[in-house]
Amino acid sequence: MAMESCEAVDGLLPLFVSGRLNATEQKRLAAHLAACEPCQEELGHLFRLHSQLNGIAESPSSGQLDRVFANLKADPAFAAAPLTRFDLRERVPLAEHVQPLMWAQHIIEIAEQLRTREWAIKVGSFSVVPTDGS
Amino acid sequence: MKAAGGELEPEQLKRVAEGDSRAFRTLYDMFAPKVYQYAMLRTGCVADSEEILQETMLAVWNGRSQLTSRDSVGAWIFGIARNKTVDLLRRDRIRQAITLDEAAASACVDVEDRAGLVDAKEAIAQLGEEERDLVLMVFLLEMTYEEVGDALGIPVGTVKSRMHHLRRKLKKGLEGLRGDGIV
Repeated sequence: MAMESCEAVDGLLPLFVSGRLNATEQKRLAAHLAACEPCQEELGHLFRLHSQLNGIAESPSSGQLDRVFANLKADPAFAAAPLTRFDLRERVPLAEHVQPLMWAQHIIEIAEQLRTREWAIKVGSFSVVPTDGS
Repeated sequence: MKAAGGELEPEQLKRVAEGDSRAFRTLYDMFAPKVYQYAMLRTGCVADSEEILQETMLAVWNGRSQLTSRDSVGAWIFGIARNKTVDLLRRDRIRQAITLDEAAASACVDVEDRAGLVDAKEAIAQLGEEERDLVLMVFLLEMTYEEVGDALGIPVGTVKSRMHHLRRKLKKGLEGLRGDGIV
């Protein structure tokens, strides 16, 4: 197979440096690099550039990340997101420790307590909604 | 191909999409450092970078239903981070333009100072804002040209040709700095 031109593989070089090439692309590039000194030099330059860039990029501390995440969770826009079954599990600690059967028992108890009135029980969120408009 | 910024298991992505905030924390831990690093290199300011990180992740959380349909979650997140950064820099410029009392301006507001990076940062600082953005997306966030094209709304061919030109420019810039004894 004829060797590909430098122009044809040029776009692969930065992606090789950042590890974004698939196996086929890596093979193509390797075949070219084996016989092309200027591209080898270019690759060396790109590796240096990548390393310098990542070296000068200041990483956040774990404390910073925790603080931003705490702020994020306290943001009204985050809190306003609709509740899901996962949120329910997290926000009702009881749910993590109580067996499903105990949940069912709990629901039955509530239903029995409320049987005298016409109540509808929304099981998922435990909200109790009167159906008679009271 | 490796995904930009790392990969989450499909099941974990599904859990985030369904609103599992603990799975979201895993996603946050995976992508937040890169978002922060990118923001720091664009703004040079800790407070602004934290704000960008928070706004980016809030947008991710609010758009979580799209997570499972994305080809590259990292590219999507970094695209949001980039937009939040551009918005913040624009706001800062307006804030600067209307701030007459220099003493009132915070250390973070000086956009010119942000470009005053040293050593290797110098070569990056010599680039225009859009050029710097492109270099950071490819070399720091490790996005493919297709992902960069999507994030910037330009054809992949344009990304390729701009990167080709930029690499030459950076090489020249770094050689020049070495010649000056700076690097």
